[in-house]
Amino acid sequence: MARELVKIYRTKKGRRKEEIRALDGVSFKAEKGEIFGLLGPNGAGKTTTVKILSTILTPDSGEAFIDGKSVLKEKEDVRKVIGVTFTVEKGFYNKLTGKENLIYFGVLRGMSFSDARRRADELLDLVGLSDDKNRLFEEYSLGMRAKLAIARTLMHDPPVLILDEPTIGLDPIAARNVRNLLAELRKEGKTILLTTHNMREAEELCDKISMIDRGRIILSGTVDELKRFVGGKIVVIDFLADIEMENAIKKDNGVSELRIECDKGNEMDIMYEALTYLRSKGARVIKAQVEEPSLEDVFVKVMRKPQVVA
Amino acid sequence: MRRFLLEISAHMYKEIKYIMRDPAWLVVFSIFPYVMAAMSCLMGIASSYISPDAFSEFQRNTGSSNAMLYFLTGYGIMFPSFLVVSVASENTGAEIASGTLEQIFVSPAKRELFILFSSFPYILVAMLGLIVSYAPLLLMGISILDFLIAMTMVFIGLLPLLGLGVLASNLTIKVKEYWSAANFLQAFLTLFSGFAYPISFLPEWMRLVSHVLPTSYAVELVRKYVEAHSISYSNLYGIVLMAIAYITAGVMSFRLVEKEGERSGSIYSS
Repeated sequence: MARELVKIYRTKKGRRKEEIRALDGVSFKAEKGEIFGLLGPNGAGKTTTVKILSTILTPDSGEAFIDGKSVLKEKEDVRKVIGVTFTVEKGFYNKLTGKENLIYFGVLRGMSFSDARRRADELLDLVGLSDDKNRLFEEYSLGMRAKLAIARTLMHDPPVLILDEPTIGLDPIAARNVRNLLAELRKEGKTILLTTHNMREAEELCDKISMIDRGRIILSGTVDELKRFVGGKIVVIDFLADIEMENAIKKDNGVSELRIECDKGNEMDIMYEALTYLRSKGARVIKAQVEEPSLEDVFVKVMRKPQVVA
Repeated sequence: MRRFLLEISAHMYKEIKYIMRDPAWLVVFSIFPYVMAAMSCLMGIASSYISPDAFSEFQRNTGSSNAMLYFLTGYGIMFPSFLVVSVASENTGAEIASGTLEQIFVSPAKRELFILFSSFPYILVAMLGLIVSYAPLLLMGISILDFLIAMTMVFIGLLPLLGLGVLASNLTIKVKEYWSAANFLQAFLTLFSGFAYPISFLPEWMRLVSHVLPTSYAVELVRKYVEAHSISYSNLYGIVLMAIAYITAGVMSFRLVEKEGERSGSIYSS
């Protein structure tokens, strides 16, 4: 649980002092055995929150508790019950193998060498790295590094996992494997704090979500609760044309996607109006359909109205 | 106690694995003192052709009648010193660069044990190299017991360097080229320690600097013992005091690194 966390970074540029308010009263609560998602764009304050919860960064004010222990006053106790992953591409020793890295960090967590070896083998098997356990970390691909990072968080079998963007930069298959693994861990009763800016991932995995932007929580709730924030339906039209529209996003293949939020029962009228407008502009419509709002729609909506706090 | 020993073993395990992955440098490291000592002797021989008094001048200035013994003793300490000081002074910077420092801080591991025992295995490795480097002493009439005592003296002389390196490492955490502290310290040790010439040769202000370097005491201690079989207790006490002071300062400075991390987060790579 985080309560009113404030963190200000003070930097110097030449003689000028600058203050960056990374967190501005962040509060949220994750229940035992759930995956709690902290969603936000880059620079929103996700990593700062993770570092505070991991006891390696001190907030200017506020407090946080993990498993009932204060991250400020009972650091040693908190460190025993958490497993943390920061960036997945770093954080290991290049000239040690995957297994040796796990053994080292396991022993630092209080395990004996024999227990650490046995546990490392189990976890490497669990994350699908058994065949590569004796390769040096520097030879690992990004996906393998992410799996090893998750394996490390589990070495001492902590009840709480804190994962900072564990799937960032991974190819779709590797990302899916990591997501499946996280879902399995929830079944085992682990409490997981997951930061991400991947909306689909959050929608698929998280029981509860807080959306964070510029150091403030702007919306919290379950996925369904968040979707209700958008209300109605989403009209989605894919078309080909060079038209600048506020709600349209250009995809890589040159197709633009127009997404319009509308009230229930009103969707056909909105679609008709939109199609008429697009045809008048000479656009070639490829697909038109009505969808339930996604987490991404919620995110886009709240980012446009950052004053909203729920 | 068991926890302490486990943590120390973990750090030793990691570093020994690292050393074993690329052991070739150990061979070079052991041979270098011979090469340097031989080169210095050859330069002396060359000088004696120009000035016939060169050798007696050497004897008068160094108090040593065996040039090879004199140089081998000095260079034998120089290379282990370089190794220990460079490893210790690069440690924190290297951990920051690899992103492992956060993982150490987020674990309940003892910070003191981490910072000291990440470099300590290199002292042991340096001692192994020194056995090879100092082996000719046995051929020069030094008994095995005296050989072991000389080795012990070098070992004690390397301990303050561990603290000095750690201190330098922690004071330069904001420097991106974290290895530059090692280069600076090595140059400093070369100039002021008297590995290849007596410190008394140096100007007064330079001699003052050499008084804060444990290597200058270690070189004198070992040379006196090897050449005259006498233990210079003033040098020995000086080294022990420096070991306590530098190691304490090194450990405390690492605590400051952690505090800096907690305050600003600027030293973390994630």
